[in-house]
Amino acid sequence: MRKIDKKTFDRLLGQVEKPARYIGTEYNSRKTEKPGEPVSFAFAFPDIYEIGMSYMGLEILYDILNEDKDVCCERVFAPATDMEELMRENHMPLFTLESKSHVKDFDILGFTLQYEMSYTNVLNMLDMAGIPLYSKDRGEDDPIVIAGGPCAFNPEPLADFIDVFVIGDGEYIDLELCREYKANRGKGRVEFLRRICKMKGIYVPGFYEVTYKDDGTIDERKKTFEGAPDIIERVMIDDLDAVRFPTSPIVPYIKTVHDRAVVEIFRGCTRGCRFCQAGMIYRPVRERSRERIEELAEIQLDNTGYDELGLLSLSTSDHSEFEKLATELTEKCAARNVSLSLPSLRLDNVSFKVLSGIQKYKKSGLTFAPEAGTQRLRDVINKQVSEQDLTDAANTAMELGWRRVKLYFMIGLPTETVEDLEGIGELGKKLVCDKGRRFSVTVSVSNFVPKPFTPFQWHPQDREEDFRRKHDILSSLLKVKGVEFNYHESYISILEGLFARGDRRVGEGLKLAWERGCKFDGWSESFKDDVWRNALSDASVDPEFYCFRDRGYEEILPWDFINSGIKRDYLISENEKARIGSTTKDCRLGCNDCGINSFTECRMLK
Amino acid sequence: MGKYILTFKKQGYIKYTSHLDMMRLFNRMFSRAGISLAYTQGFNPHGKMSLCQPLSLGYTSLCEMLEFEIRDDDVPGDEKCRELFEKISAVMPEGLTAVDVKEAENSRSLASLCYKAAYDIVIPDEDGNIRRHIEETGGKEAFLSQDRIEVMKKKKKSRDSVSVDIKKGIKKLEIEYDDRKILLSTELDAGSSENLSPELLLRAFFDFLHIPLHRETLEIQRSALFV
Repeated sequence: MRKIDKKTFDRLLGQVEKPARYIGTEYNSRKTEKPGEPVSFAFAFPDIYEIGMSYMGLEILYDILNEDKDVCCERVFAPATDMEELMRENHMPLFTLESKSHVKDFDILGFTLQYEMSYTNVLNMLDMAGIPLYSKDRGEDDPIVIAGGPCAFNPEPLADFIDVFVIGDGEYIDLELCREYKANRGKGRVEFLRRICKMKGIYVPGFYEVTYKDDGTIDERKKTFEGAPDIIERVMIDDLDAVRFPTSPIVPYIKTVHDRAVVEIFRGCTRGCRFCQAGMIYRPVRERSRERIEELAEIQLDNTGYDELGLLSLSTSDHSEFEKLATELTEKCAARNVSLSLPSLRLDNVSFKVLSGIQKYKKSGLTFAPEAGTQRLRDVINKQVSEQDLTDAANTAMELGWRRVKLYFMIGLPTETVEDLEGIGELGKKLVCDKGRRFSVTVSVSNFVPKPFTPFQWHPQDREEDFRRKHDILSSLLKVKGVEFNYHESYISILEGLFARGDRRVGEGLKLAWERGCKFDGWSESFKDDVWRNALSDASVDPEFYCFRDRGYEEILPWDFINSGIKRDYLISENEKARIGSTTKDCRLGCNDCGINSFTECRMLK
Repeated sequence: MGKYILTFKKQGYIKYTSHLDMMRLFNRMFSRAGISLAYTQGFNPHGKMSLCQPLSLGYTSLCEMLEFEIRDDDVPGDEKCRELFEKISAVMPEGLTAVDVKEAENSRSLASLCYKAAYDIVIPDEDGNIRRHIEETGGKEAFLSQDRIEVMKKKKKSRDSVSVDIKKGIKKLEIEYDDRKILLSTELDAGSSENLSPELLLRAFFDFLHIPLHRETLEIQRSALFV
């Protein structure tokens, strides 16, 4: 593999902000030289180093791939704008942090898709690497470009740019892909793709063609290679205890977003919130045993020296042995001067007990996520938190000494009315001054984006003007001393919705926006509102069709060919229940027949 | 309880790690090594350790010194120093090399004892242009024999620049010519009372030569700290 010129590199590093983003060599990063002809895998995170290095999935795959004797996995992140400019000026292509090799020379280039607004960075990184943007234009000298992560559950917006999508848990399938690559080296791209397209969780978009009806909806998906499967099944890890988990994660030189040891304690969630994609696509709940979690935590702390440990999952306190786990970890951490962070807690009594044990002296902020302002709307979205729960939690928090509370809400949820907005205002105010106490309250409001594989996947999204009007209403409702009100840029939410539920045709809009300079769209300072609007319009990509239209159940959705394990009928019934405000119980209280049980063993079924 | 001084080299890409990041790095390093630092008292306790003299981002060094205090009952001495040296060496990140560990003899902090630092600076000079300018202007003798050596320096808080005289901060300056590069070795005031950064010296020197300084092409290595 070709390496970048060290002298030029050194000169560039002297001119950029945070040069340590580009140098690799961190403690626990791997030396990637192996005998034989190992498969080289460049793991690409389409955002800057500090974001990418906070992503546990990278560590997991990096560890699994490098553990294999026939695979070398290196990392690459999106260079920040200052570095990109210098690299382009000096004709330096995109390179990996470990061996500083050209990304183009790797066998496989794998992107993780965590967020729709990183798609322009995917294109930009391909371009910086000197790899043709379109899958069809790539030759034998180019890597196989693969992509996975939650956004890959609707792969279609990127279908023209990505050779292979991985749908589901990446742990084993990425390694399998590497082995297949090694076994078929020299037989050519097409042959390789033909071989792997039958593997569970693998989707090769180039083997399908989509035709559309006059109204713009999908007419038919046709195969262009007979051997390709009709339905792509999500690939899944059944037992977390049986898979490797990083024991020596990389310790970055510079501060990253989550600068700590992390143990994933379970995957999935039983709560069934109807807006939540993660709660659907990561079913069923698969727990890591308490013993294994504690063991991993200690080994990671020994091997990294971090002074903070985070537990990773959705709704962390739902782990079946949460109380014991948290108590024991609190003790262990206290003994070694490590702080424990539990980012996703339900604020029930157990959690408070645990939290006050952890934050004995220093009380950081508490976060509540009621998501909607009234009980009616919380029933619609199946967020089973009552006003009483919130008041109780606030009282307990007050008694235990917390003074800062953050509240998360969404606006633009199906069936929302002005009363629901007023409810947000009421809740915020109530917490600030109730019974003479004083909290400082932050109300964070995000714009609801309907996501594939959720019961709300058929719903129209709010328009920009709706979001703006609602922001205005909330701003005036929350003009209260002690309340801080934050909200998100409306047009970014529209774009997020467009790429979340888009089909193959939105890819042209993406490419045009990138060509005209859009990148780092998730960062408000680099988001180019006008450029995006014009690019979409010039590419004839109409948000009206993709975002604001009410879809019927009979319509073929772009992602319908993927089987997530959740029955479509279940999503429909959940959507119908939402319309009448009827709730669905937590799966732990009895099976709701979502379908996952016929896909794999759901251990929530006692 | 014992107070020790670790001397180490900083070479390679790790030179792009800032002073603050180095402090975090050492905290983690001690933790990996299983060495328990003594903690400061107070509201926000942290491990007792400090670097003798901050090293600018991008500089390498042969002689960095970290002073640290540990929490154990072992008798300080050669054997203890050897043990610490081995534990530390085993967990240092790439680019850092432990040179030795010694007991700290002075109760005053290293930072307060430090008074001078030596640097080796490599300036690329592909076409010999810089060398020509040095020779034409009378070289270092002419530069050093000025009554005042003035250079603009940015104030820390406001963005204003003020002119400062750095003459008495320059303790030594040698210039050698090598194949297509110029080697400058210098000794400058360093420490908490008087401090002169090599960058200011270079700016003053290049101002004197009337040629632009391309900071990103320089290699600067600290070769000694005097305490």
